[in-house]
Amino acid sequence: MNEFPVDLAALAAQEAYALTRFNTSEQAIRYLNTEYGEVFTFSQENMLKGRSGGPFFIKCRTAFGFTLLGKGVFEGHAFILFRGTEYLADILTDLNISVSSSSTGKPVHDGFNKSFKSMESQLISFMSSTEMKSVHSIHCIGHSLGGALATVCGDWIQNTYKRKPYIYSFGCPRVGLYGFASRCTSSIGADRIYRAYHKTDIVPCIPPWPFIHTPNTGTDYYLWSPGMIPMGEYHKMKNYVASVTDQTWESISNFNDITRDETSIGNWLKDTSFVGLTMSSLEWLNQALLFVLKKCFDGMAWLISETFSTSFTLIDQLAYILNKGIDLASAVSDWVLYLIKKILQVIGMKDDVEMAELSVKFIRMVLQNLQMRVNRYAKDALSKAMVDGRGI
Amino acid sequence: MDYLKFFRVLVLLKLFVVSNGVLAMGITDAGKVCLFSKMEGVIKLDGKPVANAKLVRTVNLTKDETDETVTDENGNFKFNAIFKRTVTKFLPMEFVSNQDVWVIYKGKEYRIWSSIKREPDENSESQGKPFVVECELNSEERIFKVDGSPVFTLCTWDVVPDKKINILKSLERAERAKN
Repeated sequence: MNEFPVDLAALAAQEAYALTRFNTSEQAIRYLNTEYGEVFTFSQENMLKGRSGGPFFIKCRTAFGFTLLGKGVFEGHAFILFRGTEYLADILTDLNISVSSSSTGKPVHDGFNKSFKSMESQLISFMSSTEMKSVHSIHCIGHSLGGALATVCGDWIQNTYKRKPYIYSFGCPRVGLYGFASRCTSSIGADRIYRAYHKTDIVPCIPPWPFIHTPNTGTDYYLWSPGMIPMGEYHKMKNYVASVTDQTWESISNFNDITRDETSIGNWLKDTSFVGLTMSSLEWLNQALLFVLKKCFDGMAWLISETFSTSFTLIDQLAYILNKGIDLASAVSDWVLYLIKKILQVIGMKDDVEMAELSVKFIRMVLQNLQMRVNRYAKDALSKAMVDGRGI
Repeated sequence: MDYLKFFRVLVLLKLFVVSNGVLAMGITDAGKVCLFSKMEGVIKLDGKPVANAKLVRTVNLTKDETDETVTDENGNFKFNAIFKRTVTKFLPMEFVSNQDVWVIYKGKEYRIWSSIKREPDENSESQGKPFVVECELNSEERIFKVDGSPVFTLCTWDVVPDKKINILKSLERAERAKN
């Protein structure tokens, strides 16, 4: 075995919450031995203390993760488990989302990056511990924010130690921009990054573009969940555990039937039939934006997205790029117009705009409006779930 | 005719009450979580009920909160449920709360209950049934999970522990799927 089976990965992500809460590490060890038949031992630095909170307010300092070494059937494996946080909302829906540089210099969500960095020194001592010398496989596992931290951690391990870890996430939000996703995916390998998510889990939908998922290529581990509306309920780790019971990575990799190639994205953009604000239209829009950005600068956009300056918000820069695209060839400006019209439709505004009206200011307004609507959409879906007494 | 009018008013009134009730429930129950369900039972030492034993209970969602009780002459005790209104955000979060109960008797301390409550519902400790326990101070601590919540305890109650995952079976399944 090299990769960790899906049901065990889900259990590990779930246990990260309890393991970081036991009164003593002695209790955690006894628990693991009883439940998991002595297949883990503990490294010296097993509790990863970290910080999370909104970009402006660093909140409490609590154990955020857990490091384990395998024995018996898991001899030679190391596990870094991350838990989620109650401050996820602050981190994800802040309208002033900023990006900062990952360990590889790529744009990653500032909140995730800060949380990870607060644990970095402990991870360094774990990685350099003597036991780690005989380890051949490192597994980074987490749910929710924990999944984002596992992704950032995996990227850091690859860059710092030139080792290819495995990353497993459940209900993971979007971690970074294209530059990060692409670099992380190609350097670690899409086949080592396992991102599982429920169809109606809201968290993987945010933050809105230009944040994208890692890996950005390879297999999707898409789990069925009831309904069409994103909810809090299917973000819960216990539902992920239930969905992957008796499954394998192979068996859940077949569940995604949506594939979008450039032709179908183009057709979707040109299509004049009505689209509303739904999960599916947001997914389309996401891909359409990347498609149009690519057309705009064809490489140049990626360069910009990798060197985002902190003095401008993402939306400022996107508006700038799209506006520049209009001045390029007419083939490109048509796509920008299609995209803006589509966004206007999705957010329920009149879409009878002319090319000449697409100033930076106008595009910026449209993008900001979309971002606000997406965040509100997420909030509505979730407060509904909360009033039903669920999703807390 | 008058009767019909009265009936209409009655229906309207009922609708109003019902809808208000729903609304009220929606607002008051959003974010209400149970940190410890009502727990009652008997404390025994070598099979005999223990009178006047002190019980100290601690819960921790975000900070420690402690309360105490004492067993009666038949060794019986009761702790009321602890609820908390959380500042819930619109994004879902995992419910994770610590629970500990210690018995202090004749200068000795016994941890009869230590759990990480993973479900916000009342009586999740006993899978929805009343949480009535019998705790033997001189027994070996048992460790298991109840619907995903780890429990360390000296007590017995009406509950079906979770089945442990079979790691070898899981590995075999993964191997088979690859080939």
